[in-house]
Amino acid sequence: MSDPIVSIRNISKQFDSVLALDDVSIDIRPGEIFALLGPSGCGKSTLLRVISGFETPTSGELLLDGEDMTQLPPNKRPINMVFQSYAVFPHMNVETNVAYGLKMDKVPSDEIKTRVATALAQVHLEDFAKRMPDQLSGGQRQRVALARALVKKPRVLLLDEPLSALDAKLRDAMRLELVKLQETVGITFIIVTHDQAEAMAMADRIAVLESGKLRQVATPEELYSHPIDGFVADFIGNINSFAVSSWHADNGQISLTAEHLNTVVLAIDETPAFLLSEAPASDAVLAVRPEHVTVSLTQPDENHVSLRGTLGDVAYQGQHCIAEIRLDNGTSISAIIDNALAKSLPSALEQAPIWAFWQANNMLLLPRKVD
Amino acid sequence: MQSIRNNVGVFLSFSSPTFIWLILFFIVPLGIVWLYSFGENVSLTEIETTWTLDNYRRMLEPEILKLMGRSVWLAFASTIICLLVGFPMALVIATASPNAKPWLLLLIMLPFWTNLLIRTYALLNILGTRGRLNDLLRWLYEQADALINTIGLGNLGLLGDGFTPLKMLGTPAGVIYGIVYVSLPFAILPIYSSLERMDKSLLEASMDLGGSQWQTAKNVLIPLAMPGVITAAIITFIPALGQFLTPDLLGRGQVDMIANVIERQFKRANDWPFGSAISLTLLYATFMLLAIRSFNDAARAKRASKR
Repeated sequence: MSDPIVSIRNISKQFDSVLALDDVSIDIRPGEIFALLGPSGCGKSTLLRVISGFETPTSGELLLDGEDMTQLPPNKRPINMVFQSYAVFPHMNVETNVAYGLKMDKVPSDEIKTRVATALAQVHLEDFAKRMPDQLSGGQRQRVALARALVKKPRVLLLDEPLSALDAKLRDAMRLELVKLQETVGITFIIVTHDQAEAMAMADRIAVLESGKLRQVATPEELYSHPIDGFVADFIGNINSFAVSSWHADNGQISLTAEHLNTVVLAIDETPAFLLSEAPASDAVLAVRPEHVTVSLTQPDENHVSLRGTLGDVAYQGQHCIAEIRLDNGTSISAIIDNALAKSLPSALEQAPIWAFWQANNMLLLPRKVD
Repeated sequence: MQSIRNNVGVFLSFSSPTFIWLILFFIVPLGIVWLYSFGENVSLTEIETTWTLDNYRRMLEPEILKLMGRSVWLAFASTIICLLVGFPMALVIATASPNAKPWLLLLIMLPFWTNLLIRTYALLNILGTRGRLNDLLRWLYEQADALINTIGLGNLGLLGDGFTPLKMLGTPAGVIYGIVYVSLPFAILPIYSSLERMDKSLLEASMDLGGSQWQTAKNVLIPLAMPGVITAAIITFIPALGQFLTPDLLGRGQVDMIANVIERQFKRANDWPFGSAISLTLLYATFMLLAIRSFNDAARAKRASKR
């Protein structure tokens, strides 16, 4: 494994009374698309601003290619950023915007010319060189911001919520294009996003942050199938969780009881440490993804984990439906079912009992939250 | 809004007080002044409109041209100083913390709560030969003098024969000082509002792309604040051009501006036709400035909308 290009080491950032970043350490590898993912206020934007140099961390250090640049001002860092608002200079045309960074670096003017032309070609804006920003669409302005950053051949490109301001159709196209562009230029991309689908589709690895703390760093597949705790499991896709009330481990197996469920037996190598700690059993959850849940009018056999409820809202999604199954105590779980099955089910008004069931080995045993 | 305009009755009843007020107290007096400017004194109190152009011709007399020129240069110098002082102040307010901002703006507005005449008398007290400013300068002089004597350089006479008070009243410097004092809030506010509206990430983008603080100010901050600066310049220059009280009091009658001449025509000289002609010329000049501005804006808007 190659050395990290960006090393975030024990970085904390305090704003007045708010701890925006709490001892975050991440290594980012050269050439990867790395996503900083989390709900708003989780500290992902602060971390991006620390990497770009607009914020100085309260403690910790930031290394680029092994060299400390924690105190370096933004204009001295070989890192460029595509701002969420794009920040295209409104009083300069496209060409001048893209050339700006090179002029600041005192690059000779004929070199500026060729490099600007190349950068504009990379983002398909060759024909727009003389346009003013207010004559461009939002998507085109974003391309200008991209070209303006890429033309400087930065070691790392930072993108702050790059797709959030685009409409749905354009967002999908731009998502693909960004990935292709990254493959072409080979520059490390760090993307900040609150949209887990965006992060999953684009990133090689994802860091999940929540209230200033780093929860988990992993590939999208790993995050989805092996989330570290209930928060990550719920943030990356939907999941139905059930609080564990008691457990008993024996002989490579663990049998658990949880609210609403019959006894669940899972095969394990060793009893997870979070169950053995002092914390009460209910700090553990059993969780199952909606796509593993099946719905039926008759009670399933005992090889399945099952529960009884009534059908709630069914949301049509095109290829499939998301069905809500209401439980007796007012909570509900969701299941992904196919359209034919959704049609055959009694309507929500009838309040007819239905069964939701799944294989025990599709369940994840997780701590509610790792601190 | 649209529906109000469509209903003629409602529109008239809402707008007639304003129209009547404007016609009675603005258009009609202005019309009278306009007629006077083509008139001649036939007796001590009577003016007859003879459609003579003599009053306007007299504007070309060297004495009047000199006063016009002085008005323009005093107003121009004051405007430049207002912009140079106002821009950094506006920047400080625009970048101040949200808690401090209303207080700083309040400080800018505070002078308006006091009558201009009283403020100008206060300036007389400060700028006079034996005023507070000279007190401060004398104190500084004495400190420096004592220091030089202490270190044994007293007999070299580095500071001259003694303190000579700065003469501010009755000089162009004093008048400019007064005009700047009066106009500064009007210069700060439009610049502040253009800086306040600016997307801060534009400044960050410039730094991110390798621009230093100074380059960012030169290439991004100042060009984007330019509309505010132009507004500030116009809003400072036009009233400064017509300043009456400041040159009258701080100029001690030795630094007259065009408004003082106008005042004299209506009072001591009792030459209302000539006073009217100067007033209207000043008004036309102002209109011309505003028209240039509007054409400029329209051209810019047209360029921007071309897609």
